[in-house]
Amino acid sequence: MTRVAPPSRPAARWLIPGIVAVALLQTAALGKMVTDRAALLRDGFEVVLETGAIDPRDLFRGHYAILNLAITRLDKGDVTVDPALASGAPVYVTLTAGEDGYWQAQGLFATPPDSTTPVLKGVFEYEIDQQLILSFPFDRYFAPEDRALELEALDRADRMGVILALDGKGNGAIKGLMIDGALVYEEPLF
Amino acid sequence: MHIKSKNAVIGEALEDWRDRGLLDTDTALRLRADLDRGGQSFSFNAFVITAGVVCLCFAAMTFVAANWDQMSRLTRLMLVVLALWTAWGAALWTGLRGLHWWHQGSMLLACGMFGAGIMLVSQIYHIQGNAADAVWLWAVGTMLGAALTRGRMVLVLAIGLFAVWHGMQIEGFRPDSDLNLPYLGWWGAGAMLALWLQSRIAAHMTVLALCFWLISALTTVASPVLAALILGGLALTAISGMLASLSGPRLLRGFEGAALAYAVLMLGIVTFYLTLSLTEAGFRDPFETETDPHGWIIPTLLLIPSLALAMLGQFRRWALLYDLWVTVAAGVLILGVHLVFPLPLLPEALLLAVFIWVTRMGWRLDQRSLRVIGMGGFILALLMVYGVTVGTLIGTSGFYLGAGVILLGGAWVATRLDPKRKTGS
Repeated sequence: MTRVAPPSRPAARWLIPGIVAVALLQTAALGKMVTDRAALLRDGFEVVLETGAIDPRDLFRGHYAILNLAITRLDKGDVTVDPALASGAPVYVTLTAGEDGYWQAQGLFATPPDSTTPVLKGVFEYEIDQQLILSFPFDRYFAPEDRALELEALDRADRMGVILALDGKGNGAIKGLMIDGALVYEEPLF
Repeated sequence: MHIKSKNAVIGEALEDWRDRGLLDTDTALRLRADLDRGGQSFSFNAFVITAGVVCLCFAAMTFVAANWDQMSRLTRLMLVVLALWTAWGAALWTGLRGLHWWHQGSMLLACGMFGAGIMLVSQIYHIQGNAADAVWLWAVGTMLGAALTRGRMVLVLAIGLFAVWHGMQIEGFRPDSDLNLPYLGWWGAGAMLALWLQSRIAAHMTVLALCFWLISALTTVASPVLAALILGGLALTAISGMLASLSGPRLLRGFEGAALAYAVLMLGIVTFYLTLSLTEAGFRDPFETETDPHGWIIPTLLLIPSLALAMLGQFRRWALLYDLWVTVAAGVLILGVHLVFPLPLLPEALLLAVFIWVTRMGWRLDQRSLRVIGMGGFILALLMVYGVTVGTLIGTSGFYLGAGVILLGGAWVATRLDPKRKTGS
């Protein structure tokens, strides 16, 4: 065991508050992540988006299902498009409830729109063949391996929906999954 | 070439000098005591502690990744937070008792648990957003830990995490738009902490992280040749700065030698790149310099610090004055060849000359790392010249003949001029 002289009194005096402060700050950072998400799940506006799923694996967070959200690929003629949209820049998508229960994109804006309908914040990737390609920060559903594989194995005919809780700024959190309109997984707050 | 540590070599030399009567016993003992004063050197025990901590961190990460549903999410989160507090508690306990490596290892473990906690919360709430954001948060928390606890291993982890954060964003870069300049701020904070904590390993990590950013910048900008010239200018400035510091003030507290080696290595890589970009299979855009007629300005301005240091050295009669002037000359030659006169075989000859200069500097400063870089680079440069000129072997033969004659001629002149020659040195 490598033993060196114990730290001098000033160093020891400094070490205790230093370590306590770091431990508190790191715990607070984790706590803030949890409470922010829990509040969004509890209070957010709920929308359902149509999606499909495949099962890859993340090095740190394990198995997950990639959710291929239908609104990541939009026909240009189906939505109103803000001419100020730039490739790689944020996009705000206003949503409208569809007849089949899934919410659809209504308009794409470069800045937060003054809208009463729910808004989803994403990134405008690029335009190709009159199609607008978007990405959103909730296209991964982390699950134990068996459940991720189960989601991937769903029949193509089954329509999968992801339930999102949205705040007023376009931020969202995954709240659950639906298959053919039936709730199959619901995320607990904690 | 020594295979033992510096302490072991000096210790054995002290014993030998004392046995042969060259050193009296009292002086030898005092020197030995001074040598042993650094009780915090990285021992085998320290290695085992570090390896154990790294294993525990990996255990926590894979525990999170397993998404083990036999345990509730909240229990898993509490477990990780409990591990975090236990590790910080152990760090406090070992720190107060002077168990240096256990103290450092415990703090590293605590910051590893912090990272595992971030991953776990991201997994629980399906937060992916930009995955780099999670690494950034981990890096910030870890650097804060290093600053508040003076944790050297924690600082190394923080610097590495910021480099990973930068690397994770490279994919999203577009030429001319984003060099991730905020990274330099975090890098600077890490460098300042490394200097404050006098941590050699953190200093190494700092330099490596900067080299990583510089090379990534080279690959993302629209004018890579111009960027390489700028990078070369920065490397020359760093070489001059280190030579100046070695001549007197030692601002980096003994890290100058290592920093000099990194700067020389960077200059070698850049010169290689510039030379390759001129070959027939190369990738230099012939219109790049034409489209940017002012492209020469920044690389030329970057020679000013080297020139200023050389003049200051001349004024103050610094010991490494000669090397400072040769550095300026190297800069002028590199810029001249790659900006003004990219004549056939001239860049290749310059590349060989750069590595001979580096090798020479290694001998002048008695620094093995420079000699290794110089000789290794020289061999690679020879192979590169051979490789890119296959098909015109008679020309290659002429090049090697000329280079060989010049080298042997230079060595002969140097031998004749060596004042120690007559004493058989």
